[in-house]
Amino acid sequence: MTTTPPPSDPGTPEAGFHSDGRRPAAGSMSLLQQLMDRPLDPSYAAAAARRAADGLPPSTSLRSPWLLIAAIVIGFLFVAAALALRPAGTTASRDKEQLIEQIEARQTRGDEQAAEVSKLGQQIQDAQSAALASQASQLSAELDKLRLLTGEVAVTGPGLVLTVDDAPDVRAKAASGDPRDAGGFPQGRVTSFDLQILANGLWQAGAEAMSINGQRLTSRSSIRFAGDAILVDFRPLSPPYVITALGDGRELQTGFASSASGAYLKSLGDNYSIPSTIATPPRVDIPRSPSSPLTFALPVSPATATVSPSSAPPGAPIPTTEASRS
Amino acid sequence: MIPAIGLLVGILAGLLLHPAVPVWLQPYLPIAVIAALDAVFGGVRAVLDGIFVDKVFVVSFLSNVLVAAFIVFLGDQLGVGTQLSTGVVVVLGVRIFSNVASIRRHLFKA
Repeated sequence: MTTTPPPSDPGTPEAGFHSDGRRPAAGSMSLLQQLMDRPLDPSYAAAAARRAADGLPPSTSLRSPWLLIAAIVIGFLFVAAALALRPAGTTASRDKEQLIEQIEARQTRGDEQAAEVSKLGQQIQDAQSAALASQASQLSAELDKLRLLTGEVAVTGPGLVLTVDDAPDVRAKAASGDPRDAGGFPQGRVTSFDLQILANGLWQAGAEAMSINGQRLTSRSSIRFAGDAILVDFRPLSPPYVITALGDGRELQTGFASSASGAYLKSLGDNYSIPSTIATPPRVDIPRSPSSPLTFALPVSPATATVSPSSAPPGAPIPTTEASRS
Repeated sequence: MIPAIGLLVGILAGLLLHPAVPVWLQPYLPIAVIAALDAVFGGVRAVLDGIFVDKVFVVSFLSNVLVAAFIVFLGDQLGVGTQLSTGVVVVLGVRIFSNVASIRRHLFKA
């Protein structure tokens, strides 16, 4: 018996407990080595040896009711654990999901209300037409024209569709979602300033009505930048930006091309590879502006149900039924 | 074959019944699953080694699950639940992996 253990190679499979009673090379490692060397329950080997001693085959059949029950229980346990623990995400992810749900719900609600506004606007318009039908047709024509210009009605007719998009490399970076790539302001991105110039160029070229990505541009619209997003009337837009202008397509196109904005668009394409396409479809649809301020009056009682055209200046307090009664 | 069918039946039953696990039981589930996996892979290896005994399998499965749950319970009472859970996962994980390696050697000779 030596007091110091002989150096032994830890790489060999026999590096754990030695059968001849020597201490293992590294006593502190014995647990791990035992785990690695003999992962199987020794009870299997022991039971098999007992069975062999009794003259039975070392392995039992797999057709055992206990085994079947255990297998069913294990399968059930797996599924129960998966089902019970899976939805338990982190607090942050749950909060995020809730926020996304809220955003989606609010957006749906906003869209519904916008549709409601459009419907009610149409009703107001019909009522106005009906009320004006008995009066001078000149007034009615004037009203129609003003409505068209202020964006209070949806319009349709021949027009021009100008589509601009971020440069391809910017889009690729945005799609990759790497926050480091998104830092700074990439040159190939369409800015609100670009859209302002393009929209003004189209007005200059004689557009009668215009919308960007379905947002009607009126004399009171704004095209602004907030963070990375372009806002039109405080509604965020996502590229590609589709500017739809109502008017004679050919005239609009030539007028736009010869204007400063046309040159600006060309330079955007040449210098920053911002792609743009112009089409002149025979029919474009431009929705009404949902945010046009509404000043209206309600009849006090059905007997005097005459709807007067809004004469109050914009921003004036809106008379309501209750206000008229008091 | 029979145990595989049993496993499938158990999984289907779980999916169909959609068991509601009480909240107090939920901390024990992950460890119980790991312990059950250890028993399953040990059993498969024993079958391939030709020394499978059904009684050993059932008893080892039950005792694994119970002891794992007990360790988690004890750890929670002592305030070291996560550490003990980690220890259990490490030990059982090592066993699972070496059993799987042995199964792999049996099946694929690799």
